[in-house]
Amino acid sequence: MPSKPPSRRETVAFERVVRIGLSRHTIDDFIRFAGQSRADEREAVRALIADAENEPDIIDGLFERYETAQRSDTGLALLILSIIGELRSRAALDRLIALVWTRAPEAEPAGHGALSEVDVLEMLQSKAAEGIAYLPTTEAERETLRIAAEHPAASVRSAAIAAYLHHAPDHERARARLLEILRRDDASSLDRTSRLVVSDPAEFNAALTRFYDLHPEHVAPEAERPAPPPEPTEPPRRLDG
Amino acid sequence: MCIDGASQSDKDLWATHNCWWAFVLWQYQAYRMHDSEWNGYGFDDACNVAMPYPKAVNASYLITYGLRDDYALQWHATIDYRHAAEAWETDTHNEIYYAPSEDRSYLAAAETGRFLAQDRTLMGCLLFDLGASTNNPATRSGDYVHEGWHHWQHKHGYNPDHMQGPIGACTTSGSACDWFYWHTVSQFNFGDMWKFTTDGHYFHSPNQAQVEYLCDLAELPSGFVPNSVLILAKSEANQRLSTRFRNGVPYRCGDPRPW
Repeated sequence: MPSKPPSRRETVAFERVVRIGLSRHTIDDFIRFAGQSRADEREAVRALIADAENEPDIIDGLFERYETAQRSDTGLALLILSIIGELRSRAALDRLIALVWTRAPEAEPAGHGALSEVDVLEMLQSKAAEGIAYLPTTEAERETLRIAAEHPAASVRSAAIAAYLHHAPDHERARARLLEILRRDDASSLDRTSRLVVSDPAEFNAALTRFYDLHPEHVAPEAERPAPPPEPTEPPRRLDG
Repeated sequence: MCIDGASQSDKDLWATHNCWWAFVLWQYQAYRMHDSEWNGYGFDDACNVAMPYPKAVNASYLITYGLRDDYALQWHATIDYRHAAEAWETDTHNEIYYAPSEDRSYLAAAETGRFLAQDRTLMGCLLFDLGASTNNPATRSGDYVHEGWHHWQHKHGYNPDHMQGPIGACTTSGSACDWFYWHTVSQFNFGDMWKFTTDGHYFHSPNQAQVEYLCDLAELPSGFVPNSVLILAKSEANQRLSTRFRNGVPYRCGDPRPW
């Protein structure tokens, strides 16, 4: 057993931010509130964002905060993009499109388990693509389809495809439209499912099974058989014992 | 040393427990984080979330309490992910310990089969550096599961290396790619994630264990988990689903609506 427990000098504590509406005067407080808001307050936050739909200057203010955050705190940047997308503001469209098509840096090997610069950019671009797909305009729909078909990153295309299907009033028609334009190796993504879309466990499992019935090439091969354990040359010892 | 400072999501999660001391005293034993390794990394300032050790505690708190354990829909239970993450010996892996590392060439590294030394997981500064994209509790807790699964591979006689990418649908360069061994929800009983068959019907790779955890967190969290943490969990799960598997994966994680 470890001998010495951790000790504390003083406790750095954080108070919960009170619920606050979104306006140009409350952008920073609202971002803090939204980040701290609990999983079971998601709908309440959506309602507060919807209430701010016609507030002036919010989009500019949110993008200002985004520009700072994307250099220092990826989670905060994603949070701000989520608010921007949820606002469904036409004023955000051009900047979301510009973000989605920002050229990625040269891909470098990711260290073990790490997220590369390219990964982080694609996470932000996927969130921006979800924001574009949520905008109820013809231009936004056209842009969503362009991302789904032409974006160089599989993860961003996948986000656009899922969002387009999710928001389409006619699922089958949307599926057929995507099938016409997607890369051939992306076609199977039309058969992907999600637990938030199919929340009945039996239906979700059936959708998983159907995916592999339609795309047996994606079934992983048998795992390599275990190698026999190496012969110990020395008795094992514990570092601390 | 790592660059001290807390991300917004670390602060948001921290505010839900504000350094619950009984948990801290449990965590250092469950994760075998010793003063001898973590001294200088916040072990003696364990309620200051700007420091690496308290951030590790924050991620442990998330993995211990962050899931609602919906038996019908979750890929696996809290106890499964805890067994991967915690240091003591279970059916999932042998006893390990955790140590910090200033190395920034990896997020964390499971060291298995060490000669005359106990296996361990090194937690690199990328998990703690202020400004690093991975300085957040969702990534840290997901990485506990990922590295824990490398220790599972070692315990059960499998090669703990990833495949070199890019390969197939895995677009990431370097030693980063795995197969995705699909299963349905409820195929594994809660507590049985460690079980396996060699035909791939019951099997997990490290990236798979990690995204199943992140996706369970993003979609089926306990009510208290801050949305800043959930947004990160969903984004990282989907990024890894799209870029770390050699074969196609049958699902995406989370709601496509922006918030």
